[in-house]
Amino acid sequence: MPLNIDIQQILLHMFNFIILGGGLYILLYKPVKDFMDQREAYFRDLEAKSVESQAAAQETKDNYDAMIKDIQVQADEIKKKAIQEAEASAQATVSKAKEEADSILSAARLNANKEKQKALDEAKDDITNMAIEAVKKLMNEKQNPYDTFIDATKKGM
Amino acid sequence: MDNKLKKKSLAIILGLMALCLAGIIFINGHQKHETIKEAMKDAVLHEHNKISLFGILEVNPALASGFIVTAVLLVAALLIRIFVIPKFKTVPGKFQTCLELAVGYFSDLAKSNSPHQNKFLGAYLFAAGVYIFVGTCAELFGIQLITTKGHSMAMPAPLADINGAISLGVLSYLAILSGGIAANGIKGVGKTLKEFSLPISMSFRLFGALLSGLLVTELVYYYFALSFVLPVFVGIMFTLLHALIQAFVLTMLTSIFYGEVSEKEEHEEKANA
Repeated sequence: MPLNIDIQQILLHMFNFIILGGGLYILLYKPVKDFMDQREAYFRDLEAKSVESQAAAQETKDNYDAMIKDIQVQADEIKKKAIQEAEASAQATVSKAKEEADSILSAARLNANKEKQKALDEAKDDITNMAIEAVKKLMNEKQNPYDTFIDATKKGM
Repeated sequence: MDNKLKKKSLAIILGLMALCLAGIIFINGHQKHETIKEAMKDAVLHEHNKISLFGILEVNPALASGFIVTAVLLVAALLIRIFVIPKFKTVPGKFQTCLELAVGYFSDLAKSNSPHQNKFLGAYLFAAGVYIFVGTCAELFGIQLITTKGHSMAMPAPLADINGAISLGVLSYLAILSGGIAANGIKGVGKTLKEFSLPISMSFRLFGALLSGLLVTELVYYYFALSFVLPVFVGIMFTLLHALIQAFVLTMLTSIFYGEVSEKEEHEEKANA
């Protein structure tokens, strides 16, 4: 045949290559490929687990965030209520104090009026007495002014 | 390294080079049993130099090379399987990385070109790539074979023989055909047969590329004076590069054609959907 092509030798080459291919597949390619696939699967699992854990962590975080939000709302409500109660209580205390102050003031005014009335009455009495005394003195003109002065001084002491 | 040591090393290297040059000039060369024309013709056609295959058959030297390369590869694979693979770690060492790179490269090549069906293709590409690369590099070691006429000759690359190249081209075509049949049945056969020139083009591309390397190496080694220093560059240029390029080209072409013929028909997919 041209170029020294020999079918028998071509078949021998093929036979040789098939043996080589089979041997390399069993001894080298398959074990190395299996190892690589197992390692890839291991890392894929690891990644999947990591993603799963991350998702779970995110879910927990979201739950806690929601809880914190709820608690915040509740706290705001409590605070608002407390402020309202405190304001109402303060209002009540102020009103009560005002009432007390008003009652004390009115009592004080009443007392003051009474005292004033009493003082006026006493002054009236004193004036009356003084007038009586003055009349009496006028009626006793015979008396020496010097003695009168002395008597008055004594009374004053 | 201090200056004295550097000077000494340089003097030794220059002395060795001078000795080599003297040898090249004064030695006339050994007795040749064939002319350069005969040697080149025989490298292509293998008409004269034959190797006895276990005393049963007289074959081309490339076939003997093929058997030797296969034996070496299988022994190496067996040793790796027994002593290295069981000690594989999740974080690979240097050797494990090399093995994983080789397997991963061919596996990924198969996956990228034939995403739907690639298990057999990956294994085939790995075997073909390793065979072409190691077989071609085996040429570099200059292992001597004894011909039936009693002459010694350097072991050629298994695929530098037209028979070896045809066998790998045809096997690649059969692998592609098998992919077509597995994926599309009779239609797959039709698709593959459309590329009827593929085994010829694959075979002759491989043969031509590897033969050119062989011829240049043969030429260089034929002349004794050229056997010093020059083979280092020739070896790298024509053997190592060929080994890499041809392993890449054949596996790439096989995977592309395999992917094409094993692709499912669109209307079938629509019907399935």
